Amino acid sequence: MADRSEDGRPPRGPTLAAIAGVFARHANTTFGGGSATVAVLRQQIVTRRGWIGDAEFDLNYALSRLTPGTNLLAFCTATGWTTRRWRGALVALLAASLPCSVLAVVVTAFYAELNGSALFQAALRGALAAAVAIMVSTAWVFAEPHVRAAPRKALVVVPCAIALSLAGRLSPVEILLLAALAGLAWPAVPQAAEPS
Amino acid sequence: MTKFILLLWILGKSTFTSFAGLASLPEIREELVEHRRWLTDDALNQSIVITRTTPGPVGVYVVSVGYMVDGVPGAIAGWLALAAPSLLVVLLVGYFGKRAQHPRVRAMLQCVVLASAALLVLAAIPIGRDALDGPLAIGIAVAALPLLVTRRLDPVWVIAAAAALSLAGSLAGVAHA
Repeated sequence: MADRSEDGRPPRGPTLAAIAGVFARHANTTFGGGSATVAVLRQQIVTRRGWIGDAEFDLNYALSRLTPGTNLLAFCTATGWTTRRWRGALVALLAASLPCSVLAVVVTAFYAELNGSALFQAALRGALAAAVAIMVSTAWVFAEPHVRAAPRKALVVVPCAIALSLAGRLSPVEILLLAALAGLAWPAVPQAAEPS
Repeated sequence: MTKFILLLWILGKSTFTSFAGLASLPEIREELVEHRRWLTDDALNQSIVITRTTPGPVGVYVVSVGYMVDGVPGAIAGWLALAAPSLLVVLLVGYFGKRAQHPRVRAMLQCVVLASAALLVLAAIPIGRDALDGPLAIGIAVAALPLLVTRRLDPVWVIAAAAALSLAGSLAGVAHA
């Protein structure tokens, strides 16, 4: 695959090989599900490598939560597309989904042996304990800039999302769609009063 | 071949109409366990446990389900069903990306991220109930939290250190429960 952008100019973003490397390594090595993995990826692609900024990260993360299927893979695809359009999207999707799928097949095939290994179970318990901490810290890391920039939205949206989820009548995506509608309908305020 | 296409249709229909890793589970169970009896409840539960024991998204359970039903071709059907819906995000990013500076779009994104954060904390509760099953696991989680919140340590290293600590604790006879 030629490493050039779709309009024929030399690429300005990361190379396709770099995209493949980061997503293959970091989207397939983190326990705790997609959200924990997004936290790892944020550190790699925003903080460390600067491939996308905070605003693009928020855009990709929010829209990936509203996309059918697996949110993590939608996030990786969106980030690939943001950096290198379709080629980046496809490379990111393949890199993020193939290794963990192969691993799932291998573990399925050898499940009985692994499940019976006390050492494997002990290591797994530790990884899952860390995953709980990662999920909680991820929630704070993602929300913090918006809590500071838009405290009134935070005071309304966070308790409402928790209450609706605990009530159990709406699925997560329905709650997120309601949040999106609330944002669209939110009265506009001067940026100085509530910068974002 | 027919089974592959049928399995791809069933798994794809479920993933294209769900919005989170395990949200496709009820429909997959209905089709594969109840209707066609290609899978048992035990096997389906096992596929979910497997995704908890492997890194990456929990949605990968459809690959495990596909493998249980039809071997490697089934796993390929599962992977296609897992990956394909993600391409739809490009349409959303293409549309909203051009309007990202609009105040209402920015407000929408803020609200979605805030609501996602709230749901994420709630999602951590059942996992925490299972995973924090003793002093060692609780200690690992409590020690990891400030390191992660202050972003002093890459989460990958936190997970590796936690697994190593737990393994060492097990070898040294430190009880988890």
